[in-house]
Amino acid sequence: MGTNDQRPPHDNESPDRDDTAPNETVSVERYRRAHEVIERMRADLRPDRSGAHDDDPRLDATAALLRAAAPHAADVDPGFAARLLAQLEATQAATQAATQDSAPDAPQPQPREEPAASPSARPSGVSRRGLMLGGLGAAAAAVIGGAAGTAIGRASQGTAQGQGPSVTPQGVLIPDGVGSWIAVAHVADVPVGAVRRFQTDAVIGYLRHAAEGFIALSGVCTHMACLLQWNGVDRTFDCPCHGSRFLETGKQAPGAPYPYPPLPGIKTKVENGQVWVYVISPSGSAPASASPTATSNPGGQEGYNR
Amino acid sequence: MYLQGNSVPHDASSESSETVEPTRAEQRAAPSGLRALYEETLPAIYRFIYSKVGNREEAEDLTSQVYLKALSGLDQSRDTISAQAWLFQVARTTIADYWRAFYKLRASSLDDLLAMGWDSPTAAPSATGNAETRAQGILAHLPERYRDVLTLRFLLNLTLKETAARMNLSEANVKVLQFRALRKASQYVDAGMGRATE
Repeated sequence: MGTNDQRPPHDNESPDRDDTAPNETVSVERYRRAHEVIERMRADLRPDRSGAHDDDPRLDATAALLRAAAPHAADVDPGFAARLLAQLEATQAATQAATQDSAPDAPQPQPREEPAASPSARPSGVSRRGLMLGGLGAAAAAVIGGAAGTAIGRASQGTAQGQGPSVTPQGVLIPDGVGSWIAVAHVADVPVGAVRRFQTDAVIGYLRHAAEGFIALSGVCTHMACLLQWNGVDRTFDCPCHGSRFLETGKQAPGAPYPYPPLPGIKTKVENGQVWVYVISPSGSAPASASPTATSNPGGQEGYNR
Repeated sequence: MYLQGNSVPHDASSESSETVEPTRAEQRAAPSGLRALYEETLPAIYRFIYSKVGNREEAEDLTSQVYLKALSGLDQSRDTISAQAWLFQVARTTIADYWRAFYKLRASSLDDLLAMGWDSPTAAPSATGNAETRAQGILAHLPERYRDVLTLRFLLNLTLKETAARMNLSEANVKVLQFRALRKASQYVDAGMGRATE
């Protein structure tokens, strides 16, 4: 590049051969579009590919290749890697659970999942999976929530809005027959208006005591499966990753930066003074009766953890 | 990725892998098939996809799609090498579908896809994995000012203003120059260099 400093911009070039001057055959619009694509890629954001004409797709592909050659640009984000792995493992586990549900006699090999007897209410909120990944992201704990939430999200984003026979306006996370009831809180601990986070082996969610009863929602953002944070001031669920926000009902908050589906609901019931949620259980066994405040079983059934 | 055995100065008997101790790949795959495979393949798959879309947002989205699509097959496939080749295959078709949807390419658009740098299913993954090398090869073919503006804008990640200052141009001129440079460079993206006419 040093040689550029030694020559004036128009040296040795007649004006009609100037490679920096616009000409008639290329519209200004194309310069603008190419520039915007470059800027979006530099910001690591999705460019607007909709207005592509002529050889624009090829220019985009070329820009992408050059962008990928920038130092560390194409390195995998650890948080993303952890989220996707959690999603994959959850999908795998859900598939196994569904298979087992339909064929209860056939013993399924389940090397990585443990029985449902532990609500796993860890104070830290970081699951064993997260720890195994070196703490790359607490999102790794959001197994089923991440899988189902994102899958539902993609389905309703990609196709027409009237997507399928969802049970409620925003769908349920765990359909009947594949889950089991797990107690996650004492009724007395969640007064009307309160919102409590809960975590089971496979699901992270939020429990809200509304006037009409207990409402549970998936705690995983339907945009890119990050873990949501409850914002008690605005009473919204806020996503730390890309700025998604959900109202306490689970619907997209006004002013969202991009469209995303509402949070899937989780069925609840009150029994024996406790609030129960209907979530996936890897073993498909009878409802667990563990105390909501139990700290799970740190010693046992860690076979998959090295 | 590992091609075990090639670089290890074992004696000749180690060629017959079924009689010797488990290979490194097998040992790695043993504790958890999915996790090991994922950790082994993710950087290359992600990098490949990133080199096609050029931004993290789309790369993460498409990478997720690829692995979710591939999940059932990953369960069955224990061999890391073949699983990786298969993942690349899924990645290519996923990207092709993506381009078709976004750019409304013709239904039988293989030529269009190839022209955009999409790799045919038979291309070796190793030939597609290294964006740095390919970028350098493309830049090397360009006239100096084209090479400079692309280097400043992409490899050094400078803003329009910074680039204009470094090249002693107006920002409007940089916009024109970067467009022409990209256009020229795009002629070298397909089918491995050197085909475009100067």
